[in-house]
Amino acid sequence: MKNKTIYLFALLAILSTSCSSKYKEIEEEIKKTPFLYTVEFSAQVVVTEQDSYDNSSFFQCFENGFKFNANWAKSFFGSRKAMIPIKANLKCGIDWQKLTKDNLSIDGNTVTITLPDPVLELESSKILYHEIITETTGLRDDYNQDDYDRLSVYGKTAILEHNYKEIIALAQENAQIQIKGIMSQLGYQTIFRNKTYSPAEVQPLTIAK
Amino acid sequence: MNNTTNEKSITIKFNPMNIAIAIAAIAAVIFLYSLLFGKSTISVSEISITDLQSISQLKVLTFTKDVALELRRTEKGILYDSHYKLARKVSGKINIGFDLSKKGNLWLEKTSDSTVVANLPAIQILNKDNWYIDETTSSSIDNDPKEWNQTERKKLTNLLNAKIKHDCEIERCYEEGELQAEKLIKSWLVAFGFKENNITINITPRVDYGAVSWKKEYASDFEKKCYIELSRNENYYNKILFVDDNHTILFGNDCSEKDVINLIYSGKALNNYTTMDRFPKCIGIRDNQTIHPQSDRDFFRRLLNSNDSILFIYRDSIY
Repeated sequence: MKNKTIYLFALLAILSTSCSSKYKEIEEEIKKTPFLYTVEFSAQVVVTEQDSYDNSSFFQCFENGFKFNANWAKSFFGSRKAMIPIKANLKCGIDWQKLTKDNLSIDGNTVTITLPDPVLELESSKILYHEIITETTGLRDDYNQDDYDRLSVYGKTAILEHNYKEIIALAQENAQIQIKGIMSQLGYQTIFRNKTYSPAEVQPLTIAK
Repeated sequence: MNNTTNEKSITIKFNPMNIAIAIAAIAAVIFLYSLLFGKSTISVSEISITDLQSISQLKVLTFTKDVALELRRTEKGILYDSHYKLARKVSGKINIGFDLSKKGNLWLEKTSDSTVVANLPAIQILNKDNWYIDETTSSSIDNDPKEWNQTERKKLTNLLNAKIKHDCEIERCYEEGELQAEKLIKSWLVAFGFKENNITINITPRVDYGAVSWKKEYASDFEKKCYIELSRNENYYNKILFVDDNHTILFGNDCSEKDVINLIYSGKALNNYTTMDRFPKCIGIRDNQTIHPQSDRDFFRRLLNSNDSILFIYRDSIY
């Protein structure tokens, strides 16, 4: 009887936790910041991690040291390596809010505009799970989601720190064309105070969060 | 007497000295192991840039959301099912605004010296590929590497992606975005000397749609032609579903067959909202519903009440 009660409780415990999913709301925000996006693109990067069999890491505490066979350690303890591809969608444009009276002056049918500096925005990113390659041998643990998350940060940093000069120049040029078109619809001729952009002259980029 | 003998042999087997030596050996291996693998080399490849294109999109609102999903599952067993879980926290961002690329500069028109009309297209989500998550800032709360494979991880992230879109719709972001756009354009035109009363802003009505992402791998199974399911009245459809290129399902109500045929053959279809005035009755749909082509008809029947006639149109057949 006692055993039956135990089994019954165990069964109930299993059933109560099986096949369920639960969302947890954490944080939500609505930002009303207008942007005029003029260029979009995808950036892909592959982050590679590999066990380092550097003798110095093991024997750095022994001043005199002695010969260490890395291959022996590799075959005894195993090793692991991973290639994790990350793809990000990015957009580049100008902050529409900065197109205010301070940045433009009207004289008859001519409007003179100082175009705000372009802003790069990382819209979304993906770990391409089906393209991940991992190799684990010996005592080493398999790669898990924490490892992917940890390594993907390196990918994001590389993507955001990359020099996109040519793309920024294109974004600025497109913004000028579009603003000029809008102005001509309103009956104005447009003069930009900004100089003509070339990749070499592009200003450091602001990254929108 | 026999019992006493057994006890003695057990005592000899678990000699504390032997145990101490074993523990010391294990500790030495762990120590050596930790020293050896305290370091790993991480390298990042060159950035490859693809899909570069010029666009013209006016974003008016950004919806950001952090959300976590915990999945629990039990494995098959005879008496005992092992329990394990994976919880994932993601940060999502949805940009809402107007795609002005198709209209060029023609969305703004000066009708006289003092009046101006802005004809904006329908408000929409501007994110590429219907993807809202920044996975590089995501994290796992708990996971077991032996139990979860890449497909399951991908599925979990897809569920969270759909959840963010669902919450964005609940927060009435489209309506808020339209109001924001009106304020923005008006204040901007006022700066050019137009009076507020002389500014007209028209925004194309948005077709309501459900937050369903159709799995792309199933798309080829779905017939790329008009797919008509009739159950009550052959000449009238009270529900209409469009499946667009991104496998998002668009819903409409109360369309006559004539309306539908005109819509298809006019070649304008979803862009011509004036013929779709009767559409905005939106049908809610669960965001995490996975649809399989073999059961889609049954799924939609259940969703839209069993007796409703349903017309499926695959967007590729329209254009």
